[in-house]
Amino acid sequence: MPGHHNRRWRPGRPALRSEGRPAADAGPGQPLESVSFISDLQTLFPPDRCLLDGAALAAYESDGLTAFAATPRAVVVPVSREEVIAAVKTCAAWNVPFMARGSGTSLSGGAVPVEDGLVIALNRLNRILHLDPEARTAVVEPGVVNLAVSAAAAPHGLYFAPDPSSQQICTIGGNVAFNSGGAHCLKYGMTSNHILGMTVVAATGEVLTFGGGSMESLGPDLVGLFCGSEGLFGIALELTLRLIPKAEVFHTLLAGYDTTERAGDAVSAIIAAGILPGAMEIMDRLAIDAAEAATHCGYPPNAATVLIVELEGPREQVESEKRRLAAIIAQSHPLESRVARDADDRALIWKGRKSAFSAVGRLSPDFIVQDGVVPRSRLGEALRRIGELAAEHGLRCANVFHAGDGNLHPLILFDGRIPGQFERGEALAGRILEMCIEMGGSITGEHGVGLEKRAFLTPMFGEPDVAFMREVRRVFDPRELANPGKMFPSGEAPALTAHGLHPLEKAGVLSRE
Amino acid sequence: MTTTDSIRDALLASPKARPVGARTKPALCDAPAGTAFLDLSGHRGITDYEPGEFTFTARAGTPLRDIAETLARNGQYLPFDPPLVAEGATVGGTIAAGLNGPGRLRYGGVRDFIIGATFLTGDARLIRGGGKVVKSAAGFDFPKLLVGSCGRLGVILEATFKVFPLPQERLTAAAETGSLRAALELTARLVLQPADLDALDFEPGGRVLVRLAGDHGTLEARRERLSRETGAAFAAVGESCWAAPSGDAALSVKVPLTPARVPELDAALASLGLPRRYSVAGQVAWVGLPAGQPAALDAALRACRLGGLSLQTAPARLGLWPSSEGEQWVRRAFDPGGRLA
Repeated sequence: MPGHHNRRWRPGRPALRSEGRPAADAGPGQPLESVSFISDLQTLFPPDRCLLDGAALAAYESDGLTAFAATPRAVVVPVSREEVIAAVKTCAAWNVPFMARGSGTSLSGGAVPVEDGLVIALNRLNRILHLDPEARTAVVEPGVVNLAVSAAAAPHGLYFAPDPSSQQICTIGGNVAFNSGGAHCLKYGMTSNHILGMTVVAATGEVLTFGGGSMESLGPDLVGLFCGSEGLFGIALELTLRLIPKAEVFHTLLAGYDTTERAGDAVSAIIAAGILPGAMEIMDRLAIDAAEAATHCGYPPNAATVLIVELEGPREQVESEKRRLAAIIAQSHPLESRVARDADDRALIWKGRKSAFSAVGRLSPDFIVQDGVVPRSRLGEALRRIGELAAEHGLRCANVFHAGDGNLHPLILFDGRIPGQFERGEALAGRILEMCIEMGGSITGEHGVGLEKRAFLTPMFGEPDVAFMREVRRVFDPRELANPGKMFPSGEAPALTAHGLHPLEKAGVLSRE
Repeated sequence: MTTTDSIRDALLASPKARPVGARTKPALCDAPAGTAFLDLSGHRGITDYEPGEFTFTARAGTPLRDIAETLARNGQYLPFDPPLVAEGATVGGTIAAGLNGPGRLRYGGVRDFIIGATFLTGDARLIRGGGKVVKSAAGFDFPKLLVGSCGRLGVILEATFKVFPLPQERLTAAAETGSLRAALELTARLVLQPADLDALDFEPGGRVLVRLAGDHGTLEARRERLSRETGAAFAAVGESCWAAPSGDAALSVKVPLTPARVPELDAALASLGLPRRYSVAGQVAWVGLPAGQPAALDAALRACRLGGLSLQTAPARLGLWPSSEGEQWVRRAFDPGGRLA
């Protein structure tokens, strides 16, 4: 049962400073300012879109990382950009922190509410406002679900490339805030590589426009700065997305190896040969066992590691690349390898991969997942060290990762009911992040820093860089009202406690990468 | 200036400063009297390159030509065709100017390949943003913000890029459609094809140029199929048509736009008799600007509600630029004293 020892994130209650507003409606026992803040919200939002009671608020207290929870003071559900702006202005007027939220699938605790702050739920701002096939762009509201964009673009042969594995429910606004990745980043980049323009409301309530509708732009790239800012600047109201044509053909290969090093060497050989696959994924034995039990995906039964390589592109190019790939794989000493026969077979291979995280959850009552990055030529070394570190900590660790770009996803398994295991899991996760920093990598490839990894931002960058980031944040948010407590280290930093399956994962609705 | 310390000292010694490299874009080096130019052309050299990582780090003054040669020896390249490489364009200048060539169509531009940067703020603080690995979501993406900043937010000292494998072969093909309207119609069909076009430009007279890139022995078949599937007769032509013209014909003003805006802009430019070409599937126009004519182009762009970046002839800013409010905001942190403004 995940969550039985969740550490509730309880930062200090934000200081409410009245700014001379009338507080005549304050009831007994209520802080005057709080009641006035709420009554201001109530004049802006009807009762069904201004949630105040405990049961309604409970639905918003966690995100995809169930370890953290906090109870907001209220949740508002705007249906127009004007309402979002009005909510932000109300927060600014009463000095109340806020957090914008989509579907709450953040894996770094980025969408955990600010205790006693306001949640601005953007799910009803979910319109695709304009789709221009000729310019290959879509203009959308932030609450649009990732996959809905691709569905709308599909009749034109286009799609939105970023594909976090929660793409069936995660929203574009969240993708932008955390610069989400997916399995195809090697070739197509992350979310920020697919955003052309945006209109945002800064935490001050002022509305700004960055970029535009063209792939080219003038002036400094504020779109790039806003992507991945983890909600610390303000809220995106409207986004112009770049769409790209769907590949003509796919070629999916599955190979099993007796050691992880051999699979890693095969990845290096593929890249060195000048092949740029759409995706390259590696899973180790523990992850394979879990996936096999969950999906009967037909992975090689004796392999220590499997490698999935997917080529995509025009028919002639893929025909040529698949011959080169076959030669490289043949020389890489696989135990066995096979190619997807058809679309169903391809789907089965991917089903195993995509189920890996939720399947690992079956092996263990609790787990911690990290998404650090190492230079890809050091993947083998990184995996060996993760194995050693796990053994030192007396825990099992399954590995699933985006091999093409060195993006690890170690899953640390533990049982929180056994005294000491949880603390050892936390310690192991920290050691793995430190290893990523030592190797010249990154503490996060695609999940963002959020609450979970903020103790590691300074070790990665250094004090002056982090201090400067804070200054840039205060340009947009002088009073630090927008999603405070995320990304930056602070005194009340909660411990690293990512574990357990999200209820939506248990239901099979979403999976992690 | 060849060291971080000497650059920092020079920056602090000047109330107004503008970093410059090889000065291949003179209009961007145009600054008010009294501005000190920080010459970074001596701050050069690739500081880190492991071909297996598909990333490199270089000092800002490094000529892209040197980088392209080093990468090519290892079968790698920067896919966005940075312009003015032959003329000596540097890493820092290309980032600051935010310039891409036709190849940005397929995988993105300089903003999409820069992954890390070290820079001095206007008040001479040394800051590092991004990282050295191809994928990172940690911290704010300062490297991207510096793209297009024209040296006015920070002094770029060093940058890290990801690179891609160089295709085995390239093939350029042209189709004559007879008119700009027909070229736009063909372009609208081409951008929806899963043809993986490496570049797609068109000219006012209706010539449409595509570049295919891929494995040996595959491109001719792809050219034939593209012709068949689009009903346009694409004939192989030389690679030279991608080279930027020089001299009087130099296309030196960048005008971002969308294909729908092309006819209006083209009519305005035609009436001024200015040379032009539409690149990246009609997402950017490159316009020639003979000496002494910026006012006419400026007015034409304003009438079309478009903005342009002039590289050769000052002023650099022509027409209507998007709101600079965001730039002014970030300047409060990046350049609080307005030294680089």
